[in-house]
This record gives sequence, structure tokens and C-alpha cells, in this order.
Amino acid sequence: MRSLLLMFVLLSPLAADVCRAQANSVNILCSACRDPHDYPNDFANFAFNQIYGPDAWLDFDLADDFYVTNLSNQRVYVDVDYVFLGFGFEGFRVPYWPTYILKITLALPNGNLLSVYRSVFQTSLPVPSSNESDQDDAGAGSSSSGGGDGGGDEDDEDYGDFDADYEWDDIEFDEYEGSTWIEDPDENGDFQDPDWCEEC
Amino acid sequence: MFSAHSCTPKHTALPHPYAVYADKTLAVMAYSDADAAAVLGKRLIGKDNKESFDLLIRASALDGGEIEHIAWLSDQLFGTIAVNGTPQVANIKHQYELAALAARLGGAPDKSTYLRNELIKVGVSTDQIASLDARVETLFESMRGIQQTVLGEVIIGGRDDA
Repeated sequence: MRSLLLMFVLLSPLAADVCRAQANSVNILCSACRDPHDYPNDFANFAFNQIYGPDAWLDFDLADDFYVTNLSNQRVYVDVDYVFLGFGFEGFRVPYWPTYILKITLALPNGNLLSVYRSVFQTSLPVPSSNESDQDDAGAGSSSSGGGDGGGDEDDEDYGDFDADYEWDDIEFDEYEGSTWIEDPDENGDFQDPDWCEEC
Repeated sequence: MFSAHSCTPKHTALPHPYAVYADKTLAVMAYSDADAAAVLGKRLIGKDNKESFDLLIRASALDGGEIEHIAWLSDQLFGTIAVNGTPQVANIKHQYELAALAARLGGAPDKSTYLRNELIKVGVSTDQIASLDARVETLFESMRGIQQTVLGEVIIGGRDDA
């Protein structure tokens, strides 16, 4: 009985901290965030921008965990941890050196949990994270694939063959109405007579 | 729970001047213009990830080995490292490659060290990690090749062999 009481006394502050953290979590409106099940990166980028970047305003306490809600009233729980190099035993780690990575865990409305890394550098990340028309090709995360960004295990090797000899397409000027360019003279130094547009 | 709304940024970020250019124009400019390569590379994320990867690596090479392009690429293309607790090994591998490349370019090595430990944790063998390291060297040499071709000198990895 005494040990039970002791455990209760010891764990109560911890439990209170947990409850308080959840209860006081800030709820931030993200007007540019789209459906979190299809575009989880919108929420990750938005969360990052609240902590780092020119418009950052969350302090360490508030940034620990918070909610982000879009205009469709889809609320995503965001937990942010700073990643450290550490040492220790299984399940017990002593952090000793920062890695400049933020680990952002997103709890989506459908219950999926996504963990994403964001490097700490001073810039705003884009929200929305990709163009509207990119949804089909993005692979940016249906709820089933869980938001894997650019690929899963199946396309592991797709990026290995970096193409330094990329073939650079020439601009097709015909597609650019109103473009001007310099025309070289012929062998005699004369220029070809221009075809004037009568309407002009 | 209380709510806070942050709808109006304090600093209105102006779009890059190249943001109005069409993809084809940027593709031509990207041969020698780091900004054009970066703008197009970021624009193509999600639409053509392979080309986006190439362009952002090129942007870094043309920018003297600037690692911000690589960090951006790593975050936006391979950012998801776990889904419902299941590690996304492919993404962690790519993140490791890019972090090791950034370290090779002069960035802090801590991220690659951490990701290397993570790879070992999820069961990736040291042989596989060695092959990733080899790919990092390939990328690094490609970037040096770009600099040699376009700029006429190699800025990253020492100027001696320029």
C-alpha cells in the first residue's frame, strides 16, 4: 500500500504535466494547408515556420506540441522534438550533441502518425508544399502510404544516377509571342527584310 | 485550450524574381544560373522528383557548394521517416546520402552521424551503408564536374585541381 501511495505521489506531477501540456496546446489556423491526409507536408512545413524562419513566434514551451487546423476544420496534432546525438542503453539515452534536425510528429485526423525531419535553417518552408496540380504525381502521401514524400522502398535507387550531363533544351521561341531576338546578317552583311504585320 | 491565429506574416516574403519565368526558360538558364536551377528544382518537387533532385544538386554546385539547397531537397523530398512507427528506410537512406554530401561540402557532420546510427538501428548493413557512401562520392564528383564545366574552376573540395 505504501509503495502504491509512493508511486502515486511520484507520478502525479508527471501526469499533471502531460495533461497540462495537452490542455494548453495552442491551436493555430493554417489557411493555406490542404487536406492533411493528402498533403501532410503542408502541416509539417507550417509547423516548422512557426518555430524557425522569419515569422517564427512559438517559444520552446509552446512549440513542444500544438495543433494546426486548416480551413476545413481538420485538426492535426503536432509534436516537435529537437534531435540530439546520444549514447546510452536501450531505451535510455543521454543526449550530448545537437544534430540540427527537428523531428515533427503529426497525428492526422484518421489516426495515422507521421514522423518527418526538418533541418534547422533560417528560411520559410513553402505552404502549400507543392503545386495544386501536382497531387497525382507527388506521392506526397495518401493516408495508406502514410505521406511518404518522394518514394518508398520500391524507388530506392531512382536518385542514385545523378545526371551531370543533363541535356538542356533550347527555348522554342515560336511559343513565346512577342519575344525578340537578334538576327544575324547574311554573308554580305545585309539583313533579311522583315515581314511586317499589317495589323500593327 | 486556447487558440492563437497567425494569419498575417509579419514579413511579407517577396517571391524570387525568377518565379514568374516559365519552366522552359528556367531550364535553359539553369545551365549556369544557380538561382534558376533552385527555383525550377523547388517548383518541380512533386511533379518530377528526379529532375528536381538533379536541379537542386546542380544549384548547389553552381552556388559554390551551398548546402541549403541540399537541406531543402532532403526535407521536402525525403522528409517522412516513419509512418505509424514503421521506419521509411528508403527515405532515411536518401536523407543520409544528402546529409553526408552536405558534410562533404563543409557542413556539420552531426546529421549524417545520427542518420547513420538510425540506419544501423533499422537493420541496414554496413555494406549497404558503404554503397551509400560511394554514391555520395559520385554525387560530389558530379558537382565538381559541373563547376569545372560551367565555371571553369572547381571551388568545392579545394582549388588545387582547378
